[in-house]
Amino acid sequence: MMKPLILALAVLLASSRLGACADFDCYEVAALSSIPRLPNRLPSDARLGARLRVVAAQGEFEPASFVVSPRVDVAKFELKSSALVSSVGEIAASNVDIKVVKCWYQGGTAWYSYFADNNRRELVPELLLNDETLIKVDNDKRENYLRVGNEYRWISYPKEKATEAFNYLTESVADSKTLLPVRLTKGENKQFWVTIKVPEGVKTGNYVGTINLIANGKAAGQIEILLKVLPFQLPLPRTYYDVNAEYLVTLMGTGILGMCDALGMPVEAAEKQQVAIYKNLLDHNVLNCRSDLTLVNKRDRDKAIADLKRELELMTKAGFVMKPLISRGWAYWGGSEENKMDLFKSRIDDLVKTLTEAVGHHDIYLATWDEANTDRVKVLRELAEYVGEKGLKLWATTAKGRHFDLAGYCIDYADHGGWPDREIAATWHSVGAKVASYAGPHTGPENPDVFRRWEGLARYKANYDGSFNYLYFSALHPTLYQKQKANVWNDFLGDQFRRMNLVYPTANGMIDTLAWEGFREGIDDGRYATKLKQDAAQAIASGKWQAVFAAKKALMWLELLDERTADLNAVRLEMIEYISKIQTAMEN
Amino acid sequence: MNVLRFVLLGVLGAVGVTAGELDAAKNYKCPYLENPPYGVSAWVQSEMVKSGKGRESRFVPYNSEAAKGLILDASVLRDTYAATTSATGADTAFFMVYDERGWYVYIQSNDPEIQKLQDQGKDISLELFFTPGLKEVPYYQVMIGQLAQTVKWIDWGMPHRHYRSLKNYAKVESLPIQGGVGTFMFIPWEALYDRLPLNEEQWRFTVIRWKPPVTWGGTVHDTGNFGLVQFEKPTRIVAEAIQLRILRAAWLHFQRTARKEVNHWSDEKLGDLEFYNKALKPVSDSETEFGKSLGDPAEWNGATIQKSEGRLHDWMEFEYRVSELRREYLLDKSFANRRE
Repeated sequence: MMKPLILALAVLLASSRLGACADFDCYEVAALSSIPRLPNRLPSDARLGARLRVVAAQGEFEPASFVVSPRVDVAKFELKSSALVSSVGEIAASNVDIKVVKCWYQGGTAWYSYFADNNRRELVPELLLNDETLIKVDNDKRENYLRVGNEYRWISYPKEKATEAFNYLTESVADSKTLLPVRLTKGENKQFWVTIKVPEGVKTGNYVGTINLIANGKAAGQIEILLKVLPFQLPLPRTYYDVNAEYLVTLMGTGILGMCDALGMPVEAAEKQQVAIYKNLLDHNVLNCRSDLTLVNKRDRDKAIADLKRELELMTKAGFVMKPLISRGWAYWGGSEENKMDLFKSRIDDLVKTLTEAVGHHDIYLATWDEANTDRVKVLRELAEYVGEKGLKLWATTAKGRHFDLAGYCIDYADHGGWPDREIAATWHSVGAKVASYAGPHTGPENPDVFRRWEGLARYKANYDGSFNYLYFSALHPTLYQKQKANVWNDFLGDQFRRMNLVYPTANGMIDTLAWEGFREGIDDGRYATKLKQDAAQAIASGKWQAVFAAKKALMWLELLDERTADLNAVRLEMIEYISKIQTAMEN
Repeated sequence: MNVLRFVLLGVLGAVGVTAGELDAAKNYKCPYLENPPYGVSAWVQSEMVKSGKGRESRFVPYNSEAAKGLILDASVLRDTYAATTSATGADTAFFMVYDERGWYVYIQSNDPEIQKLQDQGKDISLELFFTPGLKEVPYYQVMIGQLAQTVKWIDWGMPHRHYRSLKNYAKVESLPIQGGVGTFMFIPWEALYDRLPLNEEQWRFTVIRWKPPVTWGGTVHDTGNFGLVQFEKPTRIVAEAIQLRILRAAWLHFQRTARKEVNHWSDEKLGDLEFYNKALKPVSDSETEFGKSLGDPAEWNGATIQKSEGRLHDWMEFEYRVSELRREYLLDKSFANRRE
């Protein structure tokens, strides 16, 4: 009697570990993939199984994912991670973050592009939530609702039904700080996102842990986590063409202090939100935060200078790379300054003084008019002379046939619109300028592979010097937002573009998205490539023929790689393999 | 009729088209045609163009407010022209057919000023968008410089097993003709082998012409306002011919790709012999053996299609299959000792 029972229990336990149990199946899926994981069907790359294998460097964030496919309704489904244990150490359970991936309705071009397409709605996975009930989705009507305080508000209304703006700085929207139980509905798949933060000092080795699955209070299975910690940390990204040249990673629209001031928000509350943004940026590889405060159009110059100093202090404290700095608009006529060179010069003089006092240098790239037309480019040339005289540098959003042709000699960093191209890089490099890009594509598409690829190896191997994309999230215009009836949560308000959100801002921090995770992984791909190239350079310099050959094979492979079409999950592992081979050759 | 409409609305609702779209969207029925014209000259002289059969000319002025916003699009440069009140002789039309090889689109852009534009060295352009399906599908965008004869495909999908850029497949030709410009586009079925319209599927489609600024439906990227193309259901023979053509292309693609991958991974200096022997060779050999068992591709038939069900995708995407094998192999290697 006991034997069949024991056998049945053993089968049940085994099948739970393998991903199948009475109430649901678990499927491994690649975290970063162009295949959307939707409730109504299993993705084509789903593999029945309950095992996550993660390879990461010391100090790295690395994602993994799985899909639960329920056969019955489960009112309360919980996931709890254990610590990750190895013979050489332990990684705390708190380093394993689990989120539920929320699907909701976005515009017709969702997943693919950032262009407005308000006459259609597509269900797409996007948000990484601790509390899936923060957003309510009506599948019959294809509408989204956001919980604000204790009520749900409609957030997918068409433009003609907009009545007021949504101030995300003050509205009571907050995700839970910890993962709450989710509801499973029979026949509706649910994706979960796991992010492992490998501490910097942790020892190399293989670590094992589990995610315990609990259905309606009863143990229902486990997901096994296998983590390999590599014997190195990732270096700061460097360029592909020069392994010693900096690769700057920044984003537009990350500063909210100016807007908070304009809206009369208390300084403490504003700084709290800004600091949360800084942490979010650093956790996602934005290492060169843009200073968003300027003295342009500021009547109270002393206050503006004090505000700028405070911003720089917060940025330094947060841990950003502070040399060189990147700024928002300085090198242009602001407001009533038209043709008033003295006013412009005094502003620049104050900037130099402020920077020297605040950060000990004035190594900064100043922005100018955004997407300047020909006339403005010509004015820029006049202003650039004083900028150059004071030892500052200029960055500008550029377009083919205009900025280089008219002002290539005075632009130090071109943020070129469109997809990265080696020819564009070569053009700017010919005058010693650096080049980044934006709008290739803009943020907005939910597909994480879009940003992994374009922010990552595609831009890196095009010989670019950085990433200056638009936009972190669709922020409020400080003076026009009410007239615009802006709402960062509504994808159906734009005439030209959808909301360009890598994150969604709330009172207690930013809600991350699949695209944002893709952004980080793209920069990480660049950092792994940097590690490969740095190790290769050392190996070649050693003169040991085995190491030299190992290094050159790695460099050959990297150059021949078609980064625009390759499977980047395989590419990552291949880079690690080459790094290991170089290291082995050096040791031997 | 009302019952039929009700049923049809229900079906269309299930596949992502609302009742509003059914009423509002233009619908073009793309017929099958044996040996369709290929290229601008062939189309100009074709029966269809001469007789006007299948001619679609329901173009409307491009939304002027939306046109002003085009300058904000940093991803492309457009040669837009202002709308003119006298557009006599500047009408736009297109024709479409398909056959066993692919989808053929011919666009006729009449313009009495064509010679003047050429003399001035100016260019005029078209922009095409389409989605191979109604929902949960990527959309394609192509910008055609009609006089400069430039073609720019903009990929909004990311390359993977279920998406490929059309730039390596499609043929586009644009030539000045009497009274205007003819533009021809051919997309072979191989490019969209996983989204073949063999059951009267509808695709979203629009053509936007910038001189004068007119559109068949919607503004740029405005897929919800595009028109619809409904493909005539092929006969069983034609459907089979399309599928066989795809299968042959897949087999040839697999052989080319397998050769390249095998050569690389079995290379003693640059490859990985353990990976090759343990992971790649068994799969490559198995697929090759199976493919050879089907016999001479010239003699393949309907039974071959059934027999090779499930192989087509891996053959067409063999480079991704190899990447998956490589990823698995490297992960297995990383975790050979589960806990160290």
